[in-house]
Amino acid sequence: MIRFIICAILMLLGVFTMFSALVGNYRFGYVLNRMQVGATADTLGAFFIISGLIVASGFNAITVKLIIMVFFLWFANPVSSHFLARTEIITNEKITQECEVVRHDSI
Amino acid sequence: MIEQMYEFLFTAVMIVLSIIAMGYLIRAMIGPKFSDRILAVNGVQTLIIMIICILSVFQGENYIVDIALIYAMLGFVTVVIVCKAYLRSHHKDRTKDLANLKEEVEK
Amino acid sequence: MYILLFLLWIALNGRITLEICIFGVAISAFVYRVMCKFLDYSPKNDIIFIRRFPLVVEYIFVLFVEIIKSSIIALKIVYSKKIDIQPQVVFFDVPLKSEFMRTILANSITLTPGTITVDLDEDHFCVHALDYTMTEGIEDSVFVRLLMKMEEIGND
Repeated sequence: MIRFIICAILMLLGVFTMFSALVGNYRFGYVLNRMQVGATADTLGAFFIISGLIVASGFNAITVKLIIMVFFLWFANPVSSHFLARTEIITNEKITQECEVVRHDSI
Repeated sequence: MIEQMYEFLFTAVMIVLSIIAMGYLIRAMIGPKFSDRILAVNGVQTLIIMIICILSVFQGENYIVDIALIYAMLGFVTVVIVCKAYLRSHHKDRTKDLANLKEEVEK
Repeated sequence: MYILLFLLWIALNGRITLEICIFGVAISAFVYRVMCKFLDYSPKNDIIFIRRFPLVVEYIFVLFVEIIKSSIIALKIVYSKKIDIQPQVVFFDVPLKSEFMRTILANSITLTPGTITVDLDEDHFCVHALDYTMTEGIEDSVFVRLLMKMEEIGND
């Protein structure tokens, strides 16, 4: 029973995070800002849902595979969003109108 | 009793996730730019992976997680390759843009 | 690393029998050989990894805390009534030497909601941030300090 409650809380948190990624996708005006909320909140939502599933299934082969899944998602998702951001900045001619460009001095 | 509760929870979460995926599809249709659409496709891909994972715990079969893992790899490769191909074919002369931006800032 | 490969093989098979174990030993030996030959990997890296292990655990913990903190900030921005942000693109340098460490730093910057690494060549980073407050002190954050400490351990 306690296991069920923990699992339900984790999965509902995950669904909430995914949903707010969608809301952010509709509310922001520019692609890069959408990407910030969208792609990264997806990662956290995936982590919450998968940990809920781990609690639900107990220890067996499925659990180990799900842990591998989390690791793969956390390595692969940043790389793909990095590529998207790079494509957007290179192809956009008016990038300085959307966001200011600054330089921090090195230490 | 507890079996039925798990069944209800998993079904509800899967339904909500598919509704969110519909929202991303609409975003992909109306997205004004190229990177908007790719971002939406990326989000749909994460949601589909989550649904497959839930299905595998729901049915208690461990080979379904393998399908999710392969789907994740395929989606990651898709995003990277599409971005590279788009940069190569449409903006051959603009790949030096980041360096230009940097020089502009340093002045 | 050999043990990790073997455990991965077992996990992907999903059950333990004698046949699978024998195949696993052979296949992970082959993969380890290929890694040593083509990917610049050597048994020395294993020893360095074991010596850095406490710092690695600390790094993962810090990364998780940072992700939770900054995603709460990002969610607050999403659900606020009127969105009032100033997006920014920042260029800065980080004095990290090895390629691997730079890649880890870029990945963890992207993983925290609110900042995305756009470009990385040599030791010049280019980061896009959702709001200008998120980039304050990004060039000497907790990640950078921990990674510098790790490099010191590996070099001597």
